[in-house]
Amino acid sequence: MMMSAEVAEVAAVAGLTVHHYLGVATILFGLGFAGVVSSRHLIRTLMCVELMLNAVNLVFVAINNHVNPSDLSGQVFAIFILTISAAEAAVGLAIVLALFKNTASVDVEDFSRLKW
Amino acid sequence: MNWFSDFFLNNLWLVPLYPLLAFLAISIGRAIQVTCPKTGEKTALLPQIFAPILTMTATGLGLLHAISAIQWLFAQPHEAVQAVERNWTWLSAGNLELKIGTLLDANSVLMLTVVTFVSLLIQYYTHGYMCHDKGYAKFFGYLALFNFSMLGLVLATNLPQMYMFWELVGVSSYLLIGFWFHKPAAAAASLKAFLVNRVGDFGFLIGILFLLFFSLNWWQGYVGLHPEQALLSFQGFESLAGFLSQTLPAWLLGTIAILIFAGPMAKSAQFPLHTWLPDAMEGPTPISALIHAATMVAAGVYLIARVFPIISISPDMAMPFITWTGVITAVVGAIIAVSQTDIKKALAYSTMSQLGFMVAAMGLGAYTAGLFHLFTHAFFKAMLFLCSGSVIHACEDEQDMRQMGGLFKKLPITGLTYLIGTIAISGLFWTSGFWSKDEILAAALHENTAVYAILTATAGLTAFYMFRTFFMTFMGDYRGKAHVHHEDKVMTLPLQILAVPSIFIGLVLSGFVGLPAFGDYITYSLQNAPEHHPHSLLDAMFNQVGNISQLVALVGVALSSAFYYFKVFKTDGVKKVLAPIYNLSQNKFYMDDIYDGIVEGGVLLQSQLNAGFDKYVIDGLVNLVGTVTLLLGKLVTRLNSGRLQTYVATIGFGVVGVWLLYQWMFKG
Repeated sequence: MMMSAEVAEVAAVAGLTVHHYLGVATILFGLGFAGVVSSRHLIRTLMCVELMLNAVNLVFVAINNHVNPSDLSGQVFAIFILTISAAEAAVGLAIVLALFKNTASVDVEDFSRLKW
Repeated sequence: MNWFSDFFLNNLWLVPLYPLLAFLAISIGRAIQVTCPKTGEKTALLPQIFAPILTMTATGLGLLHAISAIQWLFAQPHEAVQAVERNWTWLSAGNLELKIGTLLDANSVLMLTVVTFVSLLIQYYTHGYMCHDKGYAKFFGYLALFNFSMLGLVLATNLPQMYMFWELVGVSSYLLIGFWFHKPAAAAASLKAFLVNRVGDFGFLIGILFLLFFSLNWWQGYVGLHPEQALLSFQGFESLAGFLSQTLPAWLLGTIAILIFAGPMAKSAQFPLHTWLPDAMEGPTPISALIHAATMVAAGVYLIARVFPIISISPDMAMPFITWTGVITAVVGAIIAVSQTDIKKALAYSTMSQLGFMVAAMGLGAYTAGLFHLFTHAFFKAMLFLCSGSVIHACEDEQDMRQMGGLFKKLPITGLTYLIGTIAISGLFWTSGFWSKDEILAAALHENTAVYAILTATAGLTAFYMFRTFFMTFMGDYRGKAHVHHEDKVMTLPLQILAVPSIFIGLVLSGFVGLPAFGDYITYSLQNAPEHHPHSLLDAMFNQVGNISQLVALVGVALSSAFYYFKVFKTDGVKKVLAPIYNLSQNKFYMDDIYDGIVEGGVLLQSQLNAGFDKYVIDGLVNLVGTVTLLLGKLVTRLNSGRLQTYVATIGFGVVGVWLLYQWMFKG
């Protein structure tokens, strides 16, 4: 496994700066956000949320390498987020399953009853 | 003087205390129920018969104090009576220290004697009058409470103490007027008396506060020089008057004096605050005699005498005001009394008229005359009321004189004493009323001819309506249906005793029979005081003023007998001729209607307006706040659509929006 300093070296050789990483992360986040807002399918919504979480992970890692490559706190945080996103996905899917059992639907439009 | 009278003299503080203890004993004794161990019956702790014994003992002890006080007074030369003031601290707040105590001087000796003497007789009479009443013991308790209040008022050393007892007599009066509270008229009358007195007492209180406000520093200096005297002590009023007349403008002095006079106006039933007194006749007759004729209503005149120095420094404002209030009261009372058919109401209006005489005398500066009339009036008016009580008792609670007549045969002692009282109040034949009324008229002649003329005419009217009541009640044929009982000995004894001072007290204190004259001790030197000093007994008995007043009174008697005894004239014709005055008299000068109008048209309308303002404006504002909040809330609830995407989009675009705003504000 490469050390993070080596990763930075490889990236530098390839002409990649932190801006490229941030650009990718932004696009990913935007795609995820657009998916959450526009999708009517609950499973797809959950997947888009995962996309947004991964965009955030990418930002953490990239910024960590850019600011202080000898420190691994960004990477550690990314691992935490992965763990939480796994748990979130499990809970989310369980809710979707329960909803589907009760209503035979996975359309978000059908679940707008929680209002005044 | 022996140690016995020394004890009475040195412990005047006991005088109000006796009746207070009697009142407490009777009240507590009535309230606690005990079970008789033998029979198992429940009875009051204190048997009923102890109530009159306790009350009369308390009053009797007070009378002993009064007698030793008279001895003390007459032992001193009248030019230099050394007043004795004793004070105890009542309440202190910082520099302000209010005291309570006893003041022994000529005025308090006078009132102490009148109150204890008349009270004792009336309490004895009450035993006969109320013996069949369920509230017998309670009545004596209230009588004791009244005596406590009245004696505290009489002995008051300073104005705040007087005010406190002034209110206490008001409370006793309220309780006793409403003694038969199950009668709606009595309940309403007690309430009316209380409310009307509130009006006057409010003015009185403001007057006291004004007086204190303008003289507090001066008083503290004064009390420093006279440590035995209290703040606002009556003894210091002459010096205070000197200070005030130099520091305050005349209009302010007059205002203060008139505000203080508002108290006597209500308590002594002066026009236009007199309307409670006739209604107060709903109370038991002994109360009408004691409180609403002899003592409490005279307290107003006594108060004027006490604050006389303050009043006398406003000769152009307060004194004419007081004089004319008294004159109007005297005339109005007399005119109304003429048309009354209820014997007690007629006497009540007569009391009002006589109080008007006293107040007018005070306003004229005739200090001695006013108090002398108070003194003599207490005896004969108490007696007249007790006579009316005896008549009412004998006629089975009938009070309408049209249902009486010819009662002289059945009730000879009552009739005779009533006749004596009538002669005395008319000021005829040198009975006591002659001497005191004569002095008032002489002072009026000296000061103001118009006042003299009106009061003399009123004196004639007094004779007319008093003899009218006498003829209607005791002469002619019996017109009523009730069976007339014989008079009760318990009730006639006080009448016989009171008849003696009613006839002779004026002559005795005229100064020509070996005893000191009333005016020797009870006097207030005013710079231009009315002069009336007869040189001899004959001069006092036959002078211009006295002859005229007796003549006018005799005309009144003659007219009265022509109308109501000999029936030479028919009253119906005269009623038609004098229709405007008769209507005024019959309707009591419409004063009650005017007050009703004021209350209904003014107070009730005002209260309705206020209620409307409260309902629509104040409540409207409160409701408006609520409604606006509710509407805004409804508007905002539309945002809560329940759609997940909308929420997410709002969050997302919101974050971007905040970021852009941040950029624009701090970076741009």
